[in-house]
Amino acid sequence: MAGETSDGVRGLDETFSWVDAPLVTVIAGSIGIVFLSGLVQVSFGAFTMSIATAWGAVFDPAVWTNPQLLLRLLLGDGWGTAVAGALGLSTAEVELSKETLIVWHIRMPRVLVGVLVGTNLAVSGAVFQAVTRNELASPFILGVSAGAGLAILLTLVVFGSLSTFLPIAAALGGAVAFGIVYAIAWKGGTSPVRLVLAGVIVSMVSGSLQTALFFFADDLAVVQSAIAWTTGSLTGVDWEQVRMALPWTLVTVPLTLIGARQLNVLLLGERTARSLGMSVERVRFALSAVAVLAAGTAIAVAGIVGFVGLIVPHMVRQLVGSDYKRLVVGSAFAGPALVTLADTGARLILSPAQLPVGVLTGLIGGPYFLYLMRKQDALGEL
Amino acid sequence: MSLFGIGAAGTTGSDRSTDEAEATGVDDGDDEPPGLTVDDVALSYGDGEPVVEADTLVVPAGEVTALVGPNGSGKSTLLKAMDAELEPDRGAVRFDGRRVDEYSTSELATRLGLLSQENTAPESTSVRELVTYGRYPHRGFFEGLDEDDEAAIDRAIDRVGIDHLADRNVGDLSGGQRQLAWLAMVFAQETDALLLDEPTTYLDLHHQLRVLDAARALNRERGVTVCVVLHDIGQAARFADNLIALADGTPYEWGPPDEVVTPDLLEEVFGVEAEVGFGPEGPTIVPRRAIDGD
Repeated sequence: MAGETSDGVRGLDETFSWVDAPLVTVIAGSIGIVFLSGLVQVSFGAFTMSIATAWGAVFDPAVWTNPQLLLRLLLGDGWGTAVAGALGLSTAEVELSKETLIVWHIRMPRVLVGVLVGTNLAVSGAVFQAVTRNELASPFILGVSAGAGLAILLTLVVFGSLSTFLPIAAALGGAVAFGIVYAIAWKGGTSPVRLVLAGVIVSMVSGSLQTALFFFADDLAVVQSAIAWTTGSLTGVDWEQVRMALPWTLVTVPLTLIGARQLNVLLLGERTARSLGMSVERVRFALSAVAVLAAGTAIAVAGIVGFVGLIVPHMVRQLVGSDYKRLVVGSAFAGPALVTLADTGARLILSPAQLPVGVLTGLIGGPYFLYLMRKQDALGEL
Repeated sequence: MSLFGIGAAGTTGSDRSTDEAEATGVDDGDDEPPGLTVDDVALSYGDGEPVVEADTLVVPAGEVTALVGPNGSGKSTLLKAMDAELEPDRGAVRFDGRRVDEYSTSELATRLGLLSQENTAPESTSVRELVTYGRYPHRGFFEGLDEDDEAAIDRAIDRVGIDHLADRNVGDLSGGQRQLAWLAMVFAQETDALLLDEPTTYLDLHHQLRVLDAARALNRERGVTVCVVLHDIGQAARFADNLIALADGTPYEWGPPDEVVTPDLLEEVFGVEAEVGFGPEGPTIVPRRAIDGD
């Protein structure tokens, strides 16, 4: 018995042996940033309240002691009430203070959606960088974002409403775009430069098509939201977006973690990966699909927020090294930190006017991309 | 092995294989380690002309075989066919009696290892992490490293003699040290046979010998069949039990170094006029001058 216990302890020990100090630092730092940005976010807006009041509203016992409220927010009114009823919880309406209502219904979803968007984009970028063995890869650079954006605009203009499966539409569009980019860049193998150029081409074409679609939109409001949406914005997001992105995030992040070992082996090069027994094409295809789905999820709720998938994995890699288990976990935390921080900036810089968060990430990301390009001495030939 | 041969002429192939069987009997019981046979193959890339055509070649089980030849003679192409990376236009390569393309990728990886010519790993990978990847084919999709894996990793690091480098990052190593780390990764795969694609090219002499000695030791102690592409025919003659000399994509000669290495071979295959001496450690080659080729 004693032996079994110590075995169990050692097993647990080994399971988490890859968690090292730098990774813990990244996780803790990211959580701190998300928390602080979130706090700033919930206290600013048309109805200004002090940080202390906002703080009080976030931890309002009226919310936390009534699970049916939380269930309704997470699952939607219908399902939330049903589940609460099935669990034998009270389903009575709860009186909430004005502050609590504003924080919980209007301001908090924006922070939560920012977190989900950051996680998905960062994880997607990390996977693309391994699959293409290219530090410059990310859903935005590879044209995946543009393709997903086009698919979403099409869905919106044709069907006129959002649905839970918008992430799927986005993922399909992203997958098609990625396929085209890969086909253009393929010349018995791909090079970083060719992939980036092909990504630019596909992004430009789908950008034009997106603009063309505006002409088919019935009213101006749709066009306006569509424009905000193509730059990537968290303004006006709601619990509906949380409910849309959360389930897919719970699919993409675990799948990526499971795939971390394959990603590590892929980084050793195609020939070595194959000689180690990997079905390289199959693995690459499956993991690309996960990355496209993650990007599609983010884009479906927030539009095209550029460069997050490029910057985050790269910064995390500098801190925790290139082991993909650590890199994926680190990125899943650091992505939200970058997005919520940028969104706080977007809210405050021109206050009371609000910038779309994509403008800010673009302003940070463009120079960062340039820096990466200059740093890579051997980009290879066309 | 040829080191213990009484005289160069007296060391025949059959003597060696007897030695080999005794040496490997300790580890592997009665199991004969598997060899590779090439049977009437033509190899080409795409629709082009065949790059390699060969009737019959044998990489004998439990021995070290070197593929030699000038640049572009098809050594690496032949190696690719042995690893099932290249499907022959005709004929077959068999490993342990079965066509290599009939093995699944993962099954082949547990029995036949490959050290490829160009190796890159992220710079922040530690040597031990790199060696761990050698256990990839032995682990299930969700399985962690078990005790066998850990032991195999330790053995591989120990065998290559890089214990002191185990915690260093690959990016901080010299080219030679890096090659030793990659060799340890392939060793950790613990396969019955190993293919090494130009493992000594670009290395300094010290590390060339470290790589070859480690491969030789693995062969001697565990009976692993080794097939290695080498640039330097002199080195190949000292190191290998058998040579396969390729010229323009066809085998010129194959067999024990004493029989294969002749002034004629050096002239016709390598375009070099040379004297061949027979020392106690196999043939020695003293190149005199390059012959003007066509």
